[in-house]
Formats: sequence, structure tokens, C-alpha cells
Amino acid sequence: MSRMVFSVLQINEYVRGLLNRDPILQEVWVRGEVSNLKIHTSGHIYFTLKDEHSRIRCVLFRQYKMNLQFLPADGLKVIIKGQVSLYCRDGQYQIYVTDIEKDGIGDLYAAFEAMKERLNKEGLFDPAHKKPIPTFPKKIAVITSPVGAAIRDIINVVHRRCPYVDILVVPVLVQGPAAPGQIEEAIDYVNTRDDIDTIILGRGGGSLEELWAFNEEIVARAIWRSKIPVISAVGHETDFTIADFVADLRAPTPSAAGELAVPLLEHIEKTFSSLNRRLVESIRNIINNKKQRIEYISKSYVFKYPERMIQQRQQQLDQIYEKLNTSCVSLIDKKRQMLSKMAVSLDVLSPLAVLGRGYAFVTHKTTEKVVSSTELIKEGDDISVHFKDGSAHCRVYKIKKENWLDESTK
Amino acid sequence: MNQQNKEIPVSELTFEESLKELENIVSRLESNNLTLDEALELFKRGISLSAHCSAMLDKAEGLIKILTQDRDKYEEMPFDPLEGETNGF
Repeated sequence: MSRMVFSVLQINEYVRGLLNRDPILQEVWVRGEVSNLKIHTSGHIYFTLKDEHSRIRCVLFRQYKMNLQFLPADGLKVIIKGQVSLYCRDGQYQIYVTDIEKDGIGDLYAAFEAMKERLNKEGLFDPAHKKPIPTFPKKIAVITSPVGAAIRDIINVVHRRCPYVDILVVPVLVQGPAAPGQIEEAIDYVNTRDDIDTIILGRGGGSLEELWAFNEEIVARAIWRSKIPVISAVGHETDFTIADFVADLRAPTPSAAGELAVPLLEHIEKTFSSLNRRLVESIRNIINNKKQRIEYISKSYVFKYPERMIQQRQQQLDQIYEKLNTSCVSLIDKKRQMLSKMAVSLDVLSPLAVLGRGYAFVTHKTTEKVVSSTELIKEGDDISVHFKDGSAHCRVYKIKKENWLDESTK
Repeated sequence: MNQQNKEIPVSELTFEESLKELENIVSRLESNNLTLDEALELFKRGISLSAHCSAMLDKAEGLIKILTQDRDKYEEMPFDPLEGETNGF
């Protein structure tokens, strides 16, 4: 019976081969607590991942260190990603780690999503509630940590763009348990002042937990009730916090917040000088226009040849006089014609003409009235009978009350 | 158009308000259907608005202050962002 005897190395290599061919062990995620962490001078990181029941050796090579969001430390709860394999020299199997993330992040994400949903439903992200950012602020309040890059970036950008703007730094903790309360208090405090046009609220980049203060509900509500417009500037461009959704404007970074908060001085100056130019030009135009009108009016016929106006009137007067004259003459003619017509009619009606035909008329001697009836006389009265060429005085002898025509027809 | 603004002395207006009113005045003047008296009145207001804006722009530098709190009393101190850095966080 022959025996197969292996060297230690052979066994270790064989086992390593088995491990390396296993599909599950190629890439595993393992949850545990970091302990015995050592960073070797080579830059590689060695540690043990443990939980209450067990432990496993881990190594993270230098080249993967750049991928890390943070440096692991003893006691930290993490989830690691890596390949399970065997270190031949020691015969020890271990995890070759390629990535580490903090455990509990998943819970934070869930909490974030839940609150976002709730506040959104409540209307805190409503675009209609968002206030416009003042175009030319005089003074802005920056609520952030007084140390670090964020405040420097904001101040630099604001003053580079617009040196006349005043800045009030309202220092707050931007991470840790006290941060949300301080931020809330700062926003409320700034709102008690009347000299602040815009609020910039923010901090530099950090991990999800470091940015967490900006996901707190009391911060969201403080932003919501702020009467002064709030620009949020939390972390990097890819970081979104609840504060960003509630703010009146979200800036991707603190420097960008500085750009959004104030205009470029050159632009203001350009606008301003163009307004000045237009102001002077417009009044000059108005005055020129009025002058031109005066000139135009003074050049008009009336002002240029006033005597013609008089001549014209005179001519008019003459014409009217002429008209009056002719109409007068014709009126007189008409009247004259009428008169001669009337004279003819009068002639026809004249009693003289009747007398000429043989009629006579009688007047009473005493009353001198015309006697047209026998009723007006009595026997013995003196009467006059008038003819066309004289009259005869007579005495009434007898009165007959009969018409002489009746008598003659008897 | 700006009846109520006319009552407000120019010196009490913010830069933004002044610039807005100036803009308004210029466009009214440019519309050119004003009497000479109206136009001159507007121009006068425009000039003082312009001087007001100009004075604000000429102000050399905006102030940077930091709020400090001492037993519920707020105070403002000059702030130098570069100095603050050494304090660490």
C-alpha cells in the first residue's frame, strides 16, 4: 500500500486552490467588528473581524486604501467586501478585503428615505413655497462651522464676486448630536434680525453620518419657517440632504452657494452704468423733442406770416360785406315789386273806382258815419250823398223798409 | 406707477429697490409721453437714485463679522477665516 506524502506547502496550495475555485468565496460581504488593527509600514492594513461567536483574519492591501470612504479603526462595526483565500506561508485562511463600509448605513438610508417621503407629503419641498433669492443682497448670514474650507470658500467667492456685501458668520457645530439644535437656533436667530438678506447654510463634504445633522427634522422645519431665503450647501455635488430639498435653493457646494448668493459686481456695474446712460439720454431726448416741437410750431405759417392771417381775414370780411350788400339790394327790389303789386290790388279795391262806375255812398249829416242801412236814419234826417266828383246834401222824406231790388222785381 | 415709492426718501432704499426704481424711471422716460414737468421730476428722482446706488457700490469692502454668544447675549466680532483654521475642530 503506497502512501501519498505531501509537503506542507503542497497541502496549503491545494486548499488555497479549493478556496479560490469556490464561487461563493470569490466575493463575499461580511459583517463584524474591527479589532487588532495594524497599519504596516508598507501601507497594507491587517486586522481581525469578529463578532460574538467567531473571528477571521483580514488584510487590505495598499492599492485598495484609496477606495475607502474612511479609515477603519478598532471597535468600528463594518461590512467588508473581499475574497476568502489562504495565506500559504502561515497556513492561515483570511479575507483579502477590497472595500469597507460602515455598518448601520443601511438603516440611515432607510430613515432618510422615510423622512424625505413624509416631509414631501407634508409639502415642505413644495416649489411654490420657495422664496426667490435676492439679486443684490447687502448682507448675508453664513450658518456653518467657523473653521474649515467651507466658510473660507464661501467668503472668498462672495467677496471676489461682490466686495461690497457684508457677511455675518453664525458659527455652529455641523456634525454630532448638538449640531441640529445649534443649526435650528441659528436659523431662528438670524430671522429675528432685519439686516440679513440671504442665509447660506452648509458645510464641507463628509460621510453620510457626518452630514446627518442636515437630515434632521428640526433643521428642515427651521429652514421651512425661515422668512429669509435659505441657500443650502451641504457636502459635495453628489450629496443630497433633507436640508437641500427644503431650502429655497440648493447649491452643489459651499463655493457654488457663494456664487448663487451674490451677483458679479461687473454685471451690476454694467447694468447700473447702462441705466445711467439711458437716464441721461432719455431726458435729453425728451428736451430735444420738446425743442423740436417749439421750432416746428414757430416755423409754422401763422408765426412766419402773421400779416397774411390778417389779409386773409380782411378778404373774408370784404366778401361778407359784398354778400350783405347784394342781398340787401335784392331784398329791396323784392319789397318794391311787392309794393307795386299791392298798389294794383289797392287800386282795384279803391272806393273811388266803385264810385266811378255809378255807385254813391251816404253819410249821416250829424254823425258823419256811413249809412249802410235804413235802420240808421229816420225821416227828416239830413244826409249827404257822395259821388265820384262831389256830394249832395239831402233830407229824408220817407223810409221804405224794402230792398229796392225786391221792389223793382214786383 | 411708483406713487408710494416717491414718498420714500432715496436714502432709505436698498440697492435692489433703488436699481429697480431707477429701471422703472428710465423706461417711463423712454416711453416719451410725459409732460416736460413730469419728465424733469422723474429725472431728478432718477439722478438721486443713481447717486445712492453709486455710493453703495463705492463702499470699499463688505465687512466680515462672526457672531459670538456670551450668556444669551449676541455680539459681533471681526472675523478672519484664515485665523480660525488653527483652532481645529
